[in-house]
Amino acid sequence: MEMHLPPEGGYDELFDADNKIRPHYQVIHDWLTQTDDELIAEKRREADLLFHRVGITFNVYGESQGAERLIPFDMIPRIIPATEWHILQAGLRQRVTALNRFLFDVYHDHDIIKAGLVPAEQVFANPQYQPAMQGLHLPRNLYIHITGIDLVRNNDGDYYVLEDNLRCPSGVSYMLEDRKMMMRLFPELFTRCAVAPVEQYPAMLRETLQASTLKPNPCIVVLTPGRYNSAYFEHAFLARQMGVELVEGADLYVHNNEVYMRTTAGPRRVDVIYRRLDDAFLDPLAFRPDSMLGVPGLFAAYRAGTVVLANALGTGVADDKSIYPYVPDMIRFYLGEEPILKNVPTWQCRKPEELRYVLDNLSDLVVKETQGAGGYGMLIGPRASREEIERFRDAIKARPDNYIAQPTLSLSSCPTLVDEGIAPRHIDLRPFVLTGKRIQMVPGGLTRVALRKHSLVVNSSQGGGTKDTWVLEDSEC
Amino acid sequence: MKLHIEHDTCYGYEGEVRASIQYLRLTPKNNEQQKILDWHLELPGDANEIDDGYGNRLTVLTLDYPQPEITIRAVGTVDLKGIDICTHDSCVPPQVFLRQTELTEPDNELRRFAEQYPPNYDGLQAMMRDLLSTVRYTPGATTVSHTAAEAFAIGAGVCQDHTHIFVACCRHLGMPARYVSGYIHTQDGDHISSHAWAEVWIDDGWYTFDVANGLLMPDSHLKLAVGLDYLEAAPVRGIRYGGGQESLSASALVSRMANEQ
Amino acid sequence: MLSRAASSLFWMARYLERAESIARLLDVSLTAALMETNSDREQQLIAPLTISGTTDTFYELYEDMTAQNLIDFLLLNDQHGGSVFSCIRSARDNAHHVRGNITADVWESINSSWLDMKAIRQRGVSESSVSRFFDWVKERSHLFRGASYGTLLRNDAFRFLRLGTFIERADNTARILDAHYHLSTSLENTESARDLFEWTALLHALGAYEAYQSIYADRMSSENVAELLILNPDVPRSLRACLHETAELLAHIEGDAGRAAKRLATSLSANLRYGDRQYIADRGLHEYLTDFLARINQIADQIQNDYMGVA
Repeated sequence: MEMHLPPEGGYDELFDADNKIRPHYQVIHDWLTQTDDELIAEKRREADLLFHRVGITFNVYGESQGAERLIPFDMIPRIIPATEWHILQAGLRQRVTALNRFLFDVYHDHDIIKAGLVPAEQVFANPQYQPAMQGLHLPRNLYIHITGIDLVRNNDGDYYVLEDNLRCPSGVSYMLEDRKMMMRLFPELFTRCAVAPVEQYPAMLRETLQASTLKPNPCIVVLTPGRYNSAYFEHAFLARQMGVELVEGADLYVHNNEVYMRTTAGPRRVDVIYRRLDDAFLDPLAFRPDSMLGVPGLFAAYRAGTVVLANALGTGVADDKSIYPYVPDMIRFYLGEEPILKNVPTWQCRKPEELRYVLDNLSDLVVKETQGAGGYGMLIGPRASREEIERFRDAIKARPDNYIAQPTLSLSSCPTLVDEGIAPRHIDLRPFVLTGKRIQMVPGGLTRVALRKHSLVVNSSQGGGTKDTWVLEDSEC
Repeated sequence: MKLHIEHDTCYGYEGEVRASIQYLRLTPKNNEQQKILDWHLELPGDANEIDDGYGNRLTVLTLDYPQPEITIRAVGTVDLKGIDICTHDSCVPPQVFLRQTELTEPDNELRRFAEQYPPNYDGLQAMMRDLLSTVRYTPGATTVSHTAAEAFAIGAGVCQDHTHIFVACCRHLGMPARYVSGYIHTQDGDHISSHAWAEVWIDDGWYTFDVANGLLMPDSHLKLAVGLDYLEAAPVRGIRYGGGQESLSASALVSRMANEQ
Repeated sequence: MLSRAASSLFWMARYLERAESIARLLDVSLTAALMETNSDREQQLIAPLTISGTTDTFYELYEDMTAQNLIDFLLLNDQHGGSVFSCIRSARDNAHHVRGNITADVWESINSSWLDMKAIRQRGVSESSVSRFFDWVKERSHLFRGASYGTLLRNDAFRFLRLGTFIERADNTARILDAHYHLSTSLENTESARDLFEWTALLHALGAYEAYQSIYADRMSSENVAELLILNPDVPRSLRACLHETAELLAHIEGDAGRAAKRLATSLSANLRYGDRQYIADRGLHEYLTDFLARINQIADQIQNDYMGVA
């Protein structure tokens, strides 16, 4: 197959700056260049067919209810050498620990605020701060059982944390299905490379959820908003893989501050809810009164401590983009350590002097809404039209609090199968971190790829695809 | 001043309600302004008590067998101390009350109204006075789902709307303000339902602004619950399955105990 | 298992069975109508509407009782919840709800029926192509049954699914039998050839014609047909066979929740097992079937009440 070289100045995962092949990509490179085009095309068709049949689809917001689309899967794996992964792993562990400590703190004694490191208003006036959590004691002081941390590699070759996802991070089912697909399509590659396994994720998730309560043999359920949700496939997938029930709000009810599920054999007490439903919808009596998806009385049961929610209520206050700039300080404050993973430098538009800088440099910056998610409320300055920039300028001026800005990172590229052959496309990485009795993660995570040339947006809702992620146990392959 | 309260809430239904769950914030707590001498709830079924995040006492009533009606009664005696500032009755930091909610989010009109007043005690006092003449006390003009901006546009409402509008304006001016639900004793004794007013954090304490009555001194106010808006402080918030049309009759008799003073 | 999942499986199977029954029902009527004089022809055509209690709905949507309108109404109409189209859509909706409880094979069989159905509706079905459609419906039903029988774990999910099938089937057999018995005694044209033709069509539609021939050598009679479709344990669509399965399935469902449903089903099953044609004749076929329909619906309600949290 023909392989297009990456443009100069960026960081490519396969080619180094002199267009030499990095050692951990040697096997893949040779295989790609030696394999006949027709065979690759055939494998690609096979992969499409299999994904369709299994029905790994996602629903796209804004399209008519139930419109299901396939997330494009790219067959060329993204490879991370073990040495690199070990550093990432230590950094993720550190970051998640600090974020969890921060959540405990803002819902108890507010030490970090008293110490003057984070302004009180930034935390308490944030719509994601959940007053309902104030003073509540959780088993093991654990708030974020499941996290997804988005990392990108800049052209300096370093990894940066782009954002923390502490509410209901999704995508792990694609990580698992992508691996299954690769092993099925290219078993011979796995015999040649020592790829670290990821299949243990559902078991680890189950163990994490079990450890989220002090009750032995807890009854665990996965709570889904229902089959029109964009991640319904994943909810059903994880429930099935863990061997627990997939429930909707209407399957649960509360009596005497305890949560029960309606089963054919009568009510069954529920101890742990892995909820894939946002805070606002969980209990119509405590939050949005129009929510039909939640469980009336759940909030009281939760306050009474009879049920665990994973993740806890109110974790969004720690992954809000306006709190993101403080994470390195949290690591220093709570752990007394220097951050292992870098943060992207961030300008906070709520500060007048930083706002001025942002407005002066809009065409060079990435501007994000502090409450935004999914790549809708975002401006990529260098790629934006004049009109888009002006539209954002007005929006920022009207509500500076709602925006932050960052320099444009040039995401690293990875060879990807596209119409013109194999060409570099930009990628990110979302490792999934599980916190129970201890912090665990499977090696790698979900690699998302922007399939359009030069695009930096990897979200599946915006034309992104996924790749299998290989952490190589040997440094060469 | 000692007050005796008898608060009855009765929901009648066309048919039978199959099941129902209610969050009741009907139990006042002791604080520097009020002392509870005696208080109890009479409820038609099982109930559990917890404190919510604001520190309000929350009674959860679950009914899981058919009911023709639901009657909730709160009875008690309290002593009001006549202290004007409340400093620490909630474990939630005052900055939380800077947040707008769907019910309080101001529109441009309301923002313009608020911006006429300086963000201090005197300014708010003037705002309270003007608000009562702008938004006339008119029972039936609004419902519980009207937002502050909507009630302001209509120019009429009840204590709940006055309070929503007032807290919306305070928050817009950068002053933490909370919604308070409770009871009030009036001289003519004609206030027969529960009441709502606002409290604003100024410097280091919560100050009372009872817009509907133009009162700044909470010496006749018994506080039940606080929250960001009506939904969070409502004395009764529930959900039911079945029953058809609902009718509500509520009365809160607040009387001054004769043997005192 | 979850009450909602049980309910979805139960209804998924009921809707699929219902889709098949509607097709079979219309098949008998269209065939029988061919034999009739004009006035009786309309009565024959109306039969499926009477059986499913949808005559009023029909006349809200159409002006004339013609074979083509009937085909449209019963097979393709998306406004009519009882059409084959709507039944398959509802079955697919229920299946989507419980994807975690069914195998990929079962899901795919239902999902592709739905995709085909949408395409068929686009193309339309005419009087001349309707028999191909009937074949298609039966084929999809066989595929669904095969996939569920061949790939599902024998757990409560399987049992609730099968319960849906047998309850719906018993209900349908009883209704068809009742309606045609009524027709055969009320039509003006009482030639025996017509009678023979009609009962033959009914037996064909219920897949019981060969069984009838091998058991009853003598000429077609309504009493024999009734006996075969009510009491014969070996005819898959007979009431006795359906109730036997229903009682057996209920007996194997875990937990104490379904005592009332189990009692009702076992009692009705025993009633059929130890019934005979004389008993039915004494009571009168119509009265017997009316009572049966009330009881099977009571069982269905009780199952939903006991297991699915529906009051």
